[in-house]
Amino acid sequence: MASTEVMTINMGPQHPSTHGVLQLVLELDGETVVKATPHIGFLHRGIEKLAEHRTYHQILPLTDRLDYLAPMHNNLGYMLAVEKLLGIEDQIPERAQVVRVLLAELTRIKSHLVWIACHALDIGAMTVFIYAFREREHIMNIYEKISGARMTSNYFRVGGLSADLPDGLEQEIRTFVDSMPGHIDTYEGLLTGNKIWQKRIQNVGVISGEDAIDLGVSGPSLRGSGVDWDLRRDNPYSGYENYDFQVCVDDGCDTWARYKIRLLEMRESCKIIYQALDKLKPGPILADCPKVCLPPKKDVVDSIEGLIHHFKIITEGFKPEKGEVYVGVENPKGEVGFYLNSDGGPRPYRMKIRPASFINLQALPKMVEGSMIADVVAVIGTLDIVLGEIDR
Amino acid sequence: MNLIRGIKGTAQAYWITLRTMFRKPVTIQYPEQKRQPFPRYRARIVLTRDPDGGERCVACYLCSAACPVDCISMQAAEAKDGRRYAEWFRINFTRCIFCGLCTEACPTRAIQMTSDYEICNRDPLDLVYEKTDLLIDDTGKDPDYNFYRHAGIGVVNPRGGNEDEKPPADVRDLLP
Repeated sequence: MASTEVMTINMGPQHPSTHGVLQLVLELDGETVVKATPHIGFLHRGIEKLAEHRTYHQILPLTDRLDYLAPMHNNLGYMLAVEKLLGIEDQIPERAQVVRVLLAELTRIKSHLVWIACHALDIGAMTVFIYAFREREHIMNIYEKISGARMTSNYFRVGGLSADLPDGLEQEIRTFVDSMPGHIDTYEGLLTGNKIWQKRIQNVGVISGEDAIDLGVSGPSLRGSGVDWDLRRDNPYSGYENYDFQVCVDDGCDTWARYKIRLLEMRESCKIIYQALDKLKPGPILADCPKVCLPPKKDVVDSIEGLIHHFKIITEGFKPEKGEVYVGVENPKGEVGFYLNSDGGPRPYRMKIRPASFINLQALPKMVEGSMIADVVAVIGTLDIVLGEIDR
Repeated sequence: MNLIRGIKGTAQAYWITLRTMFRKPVTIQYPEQKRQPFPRYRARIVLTRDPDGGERCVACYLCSAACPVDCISMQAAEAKDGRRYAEWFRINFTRCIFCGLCTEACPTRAIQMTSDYEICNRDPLDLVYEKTDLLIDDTGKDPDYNFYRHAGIGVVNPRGGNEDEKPPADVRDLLP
């Protein structure tokens, strides 16, 4: 007579397919998951609290470390929030806006490449991992040429950008984007037709559109449940309204649908990058707000007025008026929002981050309960969580 | 039909893998082969000198004010000719996050970031760099710039005697 008691096991925090330090307490009946409880907080650094003691410029490097696979997008969301708080969102120069969109979409490709790599690796297709990281390396090089760091970019500034694009980079981005559809075909060739891949992800991690909305899911995970919602189109920022792109929606509600959507999103991102490259015209990269933006280095070393502004902005920061703002941007993982509350001082009184992964993780128990333990790995992969963002 | 599709899916994947075998590898063998980072790369911080060999740093504390993790500390001192310099200058690389805000803040272009990324160490205390470790005999990224040739007290030329400078104003004079 076999015993039928429910067994509780820990999956993580040291488990290769939990994408970091996520602990899932699984209650199993045989191989069926009865209950899944995510335990988070192993990577908690208190970024929201740290932000209360830093000037608005100093918070920027912290936002790199939220979703470290898409740092430029976090920077962008935070910058837009600060700019809205200051009321200078209309003064951002055209070139800065275009470069922001360009890099945001490059970041989306980069983040989705890590997603497809890790998702496939978790399920057992190791080759895709290596190919996707090869392409990611190109984007890392572009990042490094622009910002000086491969991951923690810290490139955008309040009112624009910290430096102009280096010479010849536009051509390099164009070459990379030219090659990208072929690479996506390679991943699809390795995965889409493969019977094992299909069996592992079709009808796995099913969540209906209503449930996804109720749980606050956003990004490709929401669009995979047939909900047509993309902040780039529905609440445009940084001039996204001027770009022609398709929002990919699939009502399959399963991991397979989300897989197809992310691949399509990479192709759409390539289209946006082409449009952005065409729009890129020489021009200023920082807004004309001398009380907010650092003066150009030339003014600092050559003129006393520039030097005074430089000293004032770096030592004191700038003081937005009393008030509160919320800005959400469409991260590769979903909606990332920054809520800033200013009490009129040079530091935010409160910064609240709405991380996409944290809220998408809420849907995990709903998606895995009743399925097999091996499907948990597929579902973690399809949610595309980043623990840096979940634990903050 | 299903079987054919299954075989096709697998064979196609094998074909892609096979094809890639004849491509040049993109990896490098790290400790033997080293990658040269791009010019903007942000790694180990140095203090540079001006073209005349003097220290650029004037101990204005801007880098330490801009640092989001408070890893830079220094003590300002004054030389006999009135020129300020850092008596000691310390960067704690165990705290540094290489964000580059100090470089952006420096008004004399003294503090700069190099592309030396190999600063791992067994003892964390060895990562606390003092001024002797930081100061290099080079001008860094802006080779011609000397702060005292543009402004400041008379170190190179008498006060106000530089090419792009106006003579000091006589504060007791009423004339414009």
